[in-house]
Amino acid sequence: MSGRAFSRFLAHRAGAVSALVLIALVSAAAAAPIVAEMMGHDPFAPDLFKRFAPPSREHPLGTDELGRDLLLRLLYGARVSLAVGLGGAVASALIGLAVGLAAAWWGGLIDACLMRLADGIIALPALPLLIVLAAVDPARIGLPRGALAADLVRIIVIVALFGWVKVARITRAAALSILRMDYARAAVALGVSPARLLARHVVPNLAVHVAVASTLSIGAVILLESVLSFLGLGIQPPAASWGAMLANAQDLVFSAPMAAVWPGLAIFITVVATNFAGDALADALDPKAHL
Amino acid sequence: MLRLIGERMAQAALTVVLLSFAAYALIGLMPGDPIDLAIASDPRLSAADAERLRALHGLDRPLLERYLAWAASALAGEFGFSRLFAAPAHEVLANALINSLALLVPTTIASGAIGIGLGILAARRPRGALDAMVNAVAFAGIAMPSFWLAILLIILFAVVLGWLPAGGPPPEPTLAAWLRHLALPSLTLTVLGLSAYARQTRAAMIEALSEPWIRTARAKGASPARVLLRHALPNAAIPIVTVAALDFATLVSGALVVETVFAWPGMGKLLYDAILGNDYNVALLALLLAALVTLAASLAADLIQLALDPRLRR
Repeated sequence: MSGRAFSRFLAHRAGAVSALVLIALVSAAAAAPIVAEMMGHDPFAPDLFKRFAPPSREHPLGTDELGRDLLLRLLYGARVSLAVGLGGAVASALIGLAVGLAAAWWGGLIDACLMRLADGIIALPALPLLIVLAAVDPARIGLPRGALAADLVRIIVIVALFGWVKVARITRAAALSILRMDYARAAVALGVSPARLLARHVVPNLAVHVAVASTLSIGAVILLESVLSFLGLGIQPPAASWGAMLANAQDLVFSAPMAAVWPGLAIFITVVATNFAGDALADALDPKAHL
Repeated sequence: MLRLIGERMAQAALTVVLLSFAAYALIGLMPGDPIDLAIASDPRLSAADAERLRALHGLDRPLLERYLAWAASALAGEFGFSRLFAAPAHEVLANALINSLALLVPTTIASGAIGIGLGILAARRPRGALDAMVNAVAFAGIAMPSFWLAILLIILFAVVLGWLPAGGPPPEPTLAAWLRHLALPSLTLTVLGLSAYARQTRAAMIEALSEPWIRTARAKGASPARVLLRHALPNAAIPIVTVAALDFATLVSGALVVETVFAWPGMGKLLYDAILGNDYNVALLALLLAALVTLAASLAADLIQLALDPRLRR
């Protein structure tokens, strides 16, 4: 990001604040094991003598239904949400980039098929299909079951299956117009290979649009992960996830209502922050789009 | 016009066929087929018995053959039996659909009316105080997880105040009981739904208000209300109608989370229960119905656009 772009990013007040919030969140998530060490609790070990402890010096936000520290579980949940949000956005962007480039480069029947496929995916009821996909037993298609890493990859793949469409459309439109530009035609006339033409001339010039669209999609991906985990189809216990924490808290609204407030607030703040940061990124990298 | 409808119908039919096959294949990949469940509930069943049962129900056949058999009976109006509810699948679905409509029709009307109203008010003075407020509400609607809002409303109205039930279907079929049990889910969906209307209306109205014929209308002395409602709103209506059609379609399946939180026995909760409970016949039928509603709504949105904008008809 050049100096001018950076100052345009900072000029978007909400975006600059959001970037700070996200940096703080990422550091806190990264430091979660260190915090756990310092506080001397294990966020995964139940302690049935300390269920629903009120906030105290020892447990700043209190404990959950199994006596686990809520603050620590929130921090570990942040790792899941941010990993899925980033992973899902990057995976969608890569698939979308490949599909969009293929459609723009070959055109004709390949273009028509890929874009009809994209239309079809948009026209489908996404949530029920995502639930069916998430309910598929990984063991039946020869994948490991239960490990946190496997769960993360599973959710990211499911998100990417639906998420690539927008990036593919943006890439296709931008690539078509770039391929008609003089510099692209000059490169063709010089005898540049197709791979080099796409890698050196087309992709760098449409990367900005893809980056902005992907940043804006992180929030939606995080929401989706929380929905799947809330429904019990996402990250499996004992790993902590904000959606799953809310699912547990819902059963306990009468005994511990505050346990339902924090995870939701965490999701809300993260999604708001990624949206503002995406807006600011659009202002910074692509000032023409907002004139 | 007729050609457009024909093309769309063909495309929708192809989508439904492909989707039904994909859904059929995927549901087969979920844990526990009917024979596994039978073995789990009756330990005396031997491996040979299980094989015989699989052959009897055709579960040992190739996937495509099983799918074609299902499709043939579905086309004959035979959708099979629900495992969870012990009733024909289409009857289970019809009941859920009625419950869903009782929740979704008033919700859509309320979120549409409030959202469009807020959007118009915000567009009157862009960047004013009211506009900032509407923007904040609309933004919160996108970023807030639906289940969190639902739980917060349960905490406020059911736990703290104790005015409304925390969820479930109405215990007796009286109007008062229905209204009490519908209040919280429909409030949740209204708050979340109105943000899309408010944003679209605001954007479309600001664009319409910048047109030269608005200046003309003001210059000839039309009152501000008349300029807003008679001159600007009809021209802003096209994107708003599109949002409304698509929004209603997503609600039919998208209310899944809210229906689940409030244990409201609608389409979304039925779909979720059927998928988790290995109720293949119901899950397939509900998925297909959800897809059909989505496709029909996008066709309806196109047709309404044609009806509203004579320029598109040529």
